[in-house]
Amino acid sequence: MDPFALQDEARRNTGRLVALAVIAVVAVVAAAAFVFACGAWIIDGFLIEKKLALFSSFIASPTVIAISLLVSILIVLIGFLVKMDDLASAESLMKSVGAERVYRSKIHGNDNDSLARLRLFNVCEEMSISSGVSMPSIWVLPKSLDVNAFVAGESPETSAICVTDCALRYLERDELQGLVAHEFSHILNGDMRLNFRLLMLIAGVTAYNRLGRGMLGMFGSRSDSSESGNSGGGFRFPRGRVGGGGGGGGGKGGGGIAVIILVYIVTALLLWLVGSVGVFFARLVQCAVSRQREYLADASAAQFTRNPAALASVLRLSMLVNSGRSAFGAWRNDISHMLFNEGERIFFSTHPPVADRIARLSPSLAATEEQLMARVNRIRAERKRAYENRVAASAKPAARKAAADNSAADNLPLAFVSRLRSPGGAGSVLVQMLRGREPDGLGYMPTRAQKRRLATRCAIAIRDTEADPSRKKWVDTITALAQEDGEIDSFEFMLIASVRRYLRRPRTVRMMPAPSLAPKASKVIATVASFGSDPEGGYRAAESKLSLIPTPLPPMPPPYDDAMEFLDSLSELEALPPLAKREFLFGISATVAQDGVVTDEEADYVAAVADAIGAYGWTQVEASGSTSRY
Amino acid sequence: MNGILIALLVVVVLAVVLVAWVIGLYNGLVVLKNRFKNAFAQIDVQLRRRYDLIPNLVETAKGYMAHERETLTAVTEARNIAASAAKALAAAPGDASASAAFAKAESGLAGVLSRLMAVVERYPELKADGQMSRVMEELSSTENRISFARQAYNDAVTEYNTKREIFPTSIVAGIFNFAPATLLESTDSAAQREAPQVKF
Repeated sequence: MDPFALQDEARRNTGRLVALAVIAVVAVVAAAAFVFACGAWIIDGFLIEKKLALFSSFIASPTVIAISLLVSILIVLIGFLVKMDDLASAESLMKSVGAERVYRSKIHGNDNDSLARLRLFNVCEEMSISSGVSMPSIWVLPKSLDVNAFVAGESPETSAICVTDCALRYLERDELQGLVAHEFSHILNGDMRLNFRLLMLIAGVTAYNRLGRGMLGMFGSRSDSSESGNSGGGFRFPRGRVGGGGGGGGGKGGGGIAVIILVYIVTALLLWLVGSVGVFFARLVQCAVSRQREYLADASAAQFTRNPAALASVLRLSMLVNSGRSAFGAWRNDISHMLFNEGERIFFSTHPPVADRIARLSPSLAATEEQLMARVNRIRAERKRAYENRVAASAKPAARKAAADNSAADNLPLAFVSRLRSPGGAGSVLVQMLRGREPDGLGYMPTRAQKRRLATRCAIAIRDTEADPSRKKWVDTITALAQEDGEIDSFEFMLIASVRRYLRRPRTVRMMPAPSLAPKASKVIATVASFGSDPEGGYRAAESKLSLIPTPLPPMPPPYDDAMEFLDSLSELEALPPLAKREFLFGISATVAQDGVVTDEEADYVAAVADAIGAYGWTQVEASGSTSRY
Repeated sequence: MNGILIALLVVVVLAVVLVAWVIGLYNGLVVLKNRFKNAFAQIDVQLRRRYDLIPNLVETAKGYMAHERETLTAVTEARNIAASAAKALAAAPGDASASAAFAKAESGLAGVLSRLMAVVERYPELKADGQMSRVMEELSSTENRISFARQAYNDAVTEYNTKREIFPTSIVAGIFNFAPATLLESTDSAAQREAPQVKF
């Protein structure tokens, strides 16, 4: 379609909608004033009858009505008079979303990044020539993996344009031109100013809504002075007097007061209703206006670049890539009207559906669907990498290793997972691990940490797939197999703790105060410490984490000789209160970490303790001092 | 008496409104006129930008294109001819022969430039060179600017002409002698019409 005709249409539609918005606001103001006057008039009648003219003259006075009218008119007027720059300069807005300013004089290198920025600068200057808008300041939003752009600023002289780094890297030159041209059109057509003024209209209407709520708030327990605002606050005073006056007037006056209160409430409700309906429609109109401005900007961009197909392909790309995720975090709502493309919504959408925008612009796209999909896939791959890097960067080496182990345990081969879910499958995996063999169907020998995770998964799988008698049978089998060779090593110990935890019938545990369990706890700590290179030091290291369990711990008790006895007393520690369990687990972790090395053996025992006391999955401290999950 | 006063008042108010309206129309025309004049000046600015850029381009390409000395020389020559033709036109604006010479020199320059671009395509190392990419980016931007400046000029002229011809502005335009502006016709050479395609 002819871009000039499209622009005319969008401009006409905007004009109609803005007129509609103004009419709506006027109607709301009039309706609110009417409601208010009626309420005041009725109350006034009662008050005069009850010889309470003092209040009547206050409530029904034209001053009060005038004030309420003035408040909303003022708010609307302020919207038209105050420049947006006074409230939030384009620069501060750009900085707050994390954008970086680009200066032409600072682009020196010949690397891809510099070239991309140079290209952006050139494209902006080209569009400045084409549209006749003076150059805005230019910003790039780094680390964003959305194809998007936005502008800020009230006037062309003070405006700023921001393009995401992703758009810079993935758009062809003519597509970037289309994107920039679209934003330039927002500047040229004064869309930020228009939107800002519409927002102020809405704020004016909201004043009635708030006034109504404020009046109601006097009767509600949740009254909030900040919400009721000045006008609402002003009405607090007479209410106390009305109540007091009613009491003084005797029984006869009580009914009248009740009616007054009723009328008052109804008035407030109506005000609130009028305000709400007004806000609803004003927002509807604002969004409709915003959509028209998007059409206008598209059409103008087509005029500036004479290349609607390129803009259409950016739209298509952004539709494929920007899955409605937030590129700008909490800022999205505030700046959505300035964005190139936002997610899909219907009535309260500030942007028209992308498909419709494309259809209006051009029957053909500059890039083929395959080319676009190739780029989309690259962007998605980059997002995935960025996510993984974030995860990796947030974790220290030990935790990263644990995370890798976890992900290996969580990303089991599909056939293997279904084997776990088959009857007897999970149990046989446990048996194979006990025998030191590679579990069938896994395809690799799991590391010790993976085995620990796998043991838990198997136990849970048995619990979920098998009936109670057969669960008990597995507990017995595993325990018997572990004891086959006459001793129970740390891994076997951990396995038994795991199956007992998940497969034994759940029992109710009565919490006991932490100090009463301190002797047991210290003996457990001493036993775990005995596996380290410095038992006494490890035992004392736990003290730093304990507070509910009294410290200092008693002199180091002899460790348990018998594994099953050790396991039973661990189970008794399940009676520790949750917070004490947590610190106990931290204490055990500190014990094993004390000598700087966490052996497989020690890690097994920590996992077993966690399982046995029912604190599995709690974050624990490893030797490196970083946190990880077992 | 009172009726006459009211009538007089109405007439005065109407006259004030009318004058304000005419002033508004007049100012609107002036704004549009200045806009297309400025757009015309932009074309000139961008042509100069192209002249300044070419020696840089040739210098960068030289190292890689030993065998294409001929093309490079042709570009330099065409650039010098166009620059001097522009100077001659600036000295004698409106002169028909200077204007024709300038148009010819410009189309010649555009022709050799697009040939150079085609040649560059054959040299992968040259295309990969950072400095060359930079120069090419600047050049392709300049070509865009020239065509956008022409386009903006034509858009501005069209807007001005339309406003000028539409009633009631046409009356104001007639009274104050706003002459119609002419559009820039695209030149005969196909090379001039199409900016050299630069692909990376």
